[in-house]
Amino acid sequence: MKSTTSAFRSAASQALADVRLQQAHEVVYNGFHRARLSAAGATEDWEAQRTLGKAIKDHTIANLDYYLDMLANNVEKNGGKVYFASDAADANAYVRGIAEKNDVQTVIKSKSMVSEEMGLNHVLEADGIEVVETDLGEYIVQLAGEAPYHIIAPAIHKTKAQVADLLAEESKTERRETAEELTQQAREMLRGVFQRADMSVTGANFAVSETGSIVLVTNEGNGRMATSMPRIHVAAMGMEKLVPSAADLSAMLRILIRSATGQRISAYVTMVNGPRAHDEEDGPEEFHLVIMNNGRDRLLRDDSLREALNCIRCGACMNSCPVYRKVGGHSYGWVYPGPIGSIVSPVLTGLKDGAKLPAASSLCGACHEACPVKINIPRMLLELRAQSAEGVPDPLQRASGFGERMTWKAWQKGMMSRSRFEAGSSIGKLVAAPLKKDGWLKKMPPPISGWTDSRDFPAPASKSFGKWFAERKRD
Amino acid sequence: MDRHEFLSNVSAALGRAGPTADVGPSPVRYPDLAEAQIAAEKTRIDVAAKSTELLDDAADAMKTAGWKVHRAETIEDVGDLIAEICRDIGADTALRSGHEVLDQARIDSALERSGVDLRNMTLGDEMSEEDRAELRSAHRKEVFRTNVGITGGDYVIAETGTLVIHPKKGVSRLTSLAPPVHIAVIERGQVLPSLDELFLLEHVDIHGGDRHAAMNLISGPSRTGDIEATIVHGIHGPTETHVILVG
Repeated sequence: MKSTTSAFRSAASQALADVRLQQAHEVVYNGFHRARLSAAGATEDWEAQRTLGKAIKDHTIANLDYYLDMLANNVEKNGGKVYFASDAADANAYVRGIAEKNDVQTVIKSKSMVSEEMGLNHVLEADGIEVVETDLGEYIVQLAGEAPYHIIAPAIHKTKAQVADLLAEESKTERRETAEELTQQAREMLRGVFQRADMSVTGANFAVSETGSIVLVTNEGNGRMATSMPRIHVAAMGMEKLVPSAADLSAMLRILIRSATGQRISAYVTMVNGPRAHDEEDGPEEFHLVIMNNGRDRLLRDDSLREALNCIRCGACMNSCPVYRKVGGHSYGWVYPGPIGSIVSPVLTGLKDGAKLPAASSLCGACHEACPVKINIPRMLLELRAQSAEGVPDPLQRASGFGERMTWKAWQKGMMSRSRFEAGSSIGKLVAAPLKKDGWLKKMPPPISGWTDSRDFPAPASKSFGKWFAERKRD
Repeated sequence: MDRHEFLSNVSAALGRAGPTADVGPSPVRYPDLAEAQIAAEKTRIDVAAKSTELLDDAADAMKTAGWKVHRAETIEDVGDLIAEICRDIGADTALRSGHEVLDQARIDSALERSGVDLRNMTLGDEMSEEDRAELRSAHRKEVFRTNVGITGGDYVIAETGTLVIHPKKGVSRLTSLAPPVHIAVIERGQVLPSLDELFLLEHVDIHGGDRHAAMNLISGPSRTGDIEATIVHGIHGPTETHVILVG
């Protein structure tokens, strides 16, 4: 998927002005966020479960080479094929190859963020293959020609009426009205697709190294269709999405699902251990697992950012984020939105374009508090701000402009010395004096107008604290 | 990309030449197999000892998860109960799995008496490859036309209200998925307290050579909230799920 992270500000402004979107964001907040809080409250030892989740992921990522090797060996032992892809192009080429070799006509997708990252749909469609998303929300955004809006609720920004139009147009049948009728209509439309599909591409919520399995968590049952109907099943995963054993899986499922939707468990959890047995009635004859790097090694290499690989993609940080709740998913410009996306996207797609994302946070800490594996997102956002401003060796590649850096340098110099600080504040007072009105600065020249256009700034006091304190002591 | 090259790059990112041989235990890793087998055996004994209590817990949790829960005192009552559910929903076609509990319940004769066309499309041991392919293809069509899918199950999880089914010979993945109504029959003694026990038993079974190609955890009807966050049942899987708890 092409990144448009550099357009964060304009996209966010558009979302902020869209009343419909603002209402949809409230639905996300009221639905998922509150459901998560009540599920956490109803779970005994929730804090201990989170601590355990963090310990499991820390251990797995610290030994990622070991567990990836084990996973690949066991998938192969189970009769599946494993492909290690360095990047999106590499992964796409492998999946294309499978489709070509098997003369695949129709591919069904079951919600996969990694395949969004790959831009797989376009690649397969360019080869003349029919590609259909089967998660209802993903299907709706695919019909609309858009990207998913929210990782758990991809079409939350669409109204019922918009969905009705999209489904009626695609099916060339009567336009339906209610959510129930529309769901039924989509069911009928997608059944035909399931029946003619020769290949499925799914994600993997988890992979289990010790058993060579992948795990799909869905509420709709499309993950089950994808692992029952087509002749070939391809699962694509980021290289960080594994746990050592089934014992770890049990602990992780518990926190993932509660954090995502507030359910104790989703309607379906499917564990896939390879292709079907020879005497089964249905299930895929071939199973492929694509394990993709695509820049994740940059997170792994950097001690201060490695923790971002612990993410299990539940969406809790997004639903709890006051910024995400206002600007919505599309503003972030790439596959992974919200607080964790603000760490992952800049590193995976390039720090310069993505530098605005780590800045789009008030550092309030709600994401850290919500994260089921306790990822310290605010700490990493600060780290990325520092890296993008100062850490890149080539000054032209830095996100901060020359003027901005000089301003802060001067600020730093001024604050380091008592006399320069006092001289600076006297100058500030002089400059502000003519603009002062009733103790407030209401209109300032650029760039400070960015602040004063929407709110007033308190004017400097006529006497500085230092001066007042010195006089008071004399008395 | 070459696997060795990929993994070497991961090792390098972790600051070492190659994977460490001994990574130490994961925070919740099972003990060695012999100990895990002892723990699994203990679980089976506990589950048998507390089977009545666990069945009641399962009934409550399954209700919460969206199952329509029916209780049967004995296996003899099950056939008529299924016939009654079929009558209530106006079903006249059904597809069953090869689960033995359905034979014990004599559902074939019960449904025949009530005029439901019940099919069992299990692959036979003696079948040729051609016959198998033909039956598979017929099954794929039939399962999308039929009104009800009837199965047994391997376990039920009391923590979450979950039915666990391993697909295998005679147990199609689609029978519990494609028809608009799914009816499952579970006996006392099949209920496990939580997911932890399930995955422990699974771990021991897999290492003991009893590995299935997949495992499905089913917790109520298929659901979506993708249209204006309204919860609707039956997007891809069943709209209604019934469970008959026996004992």
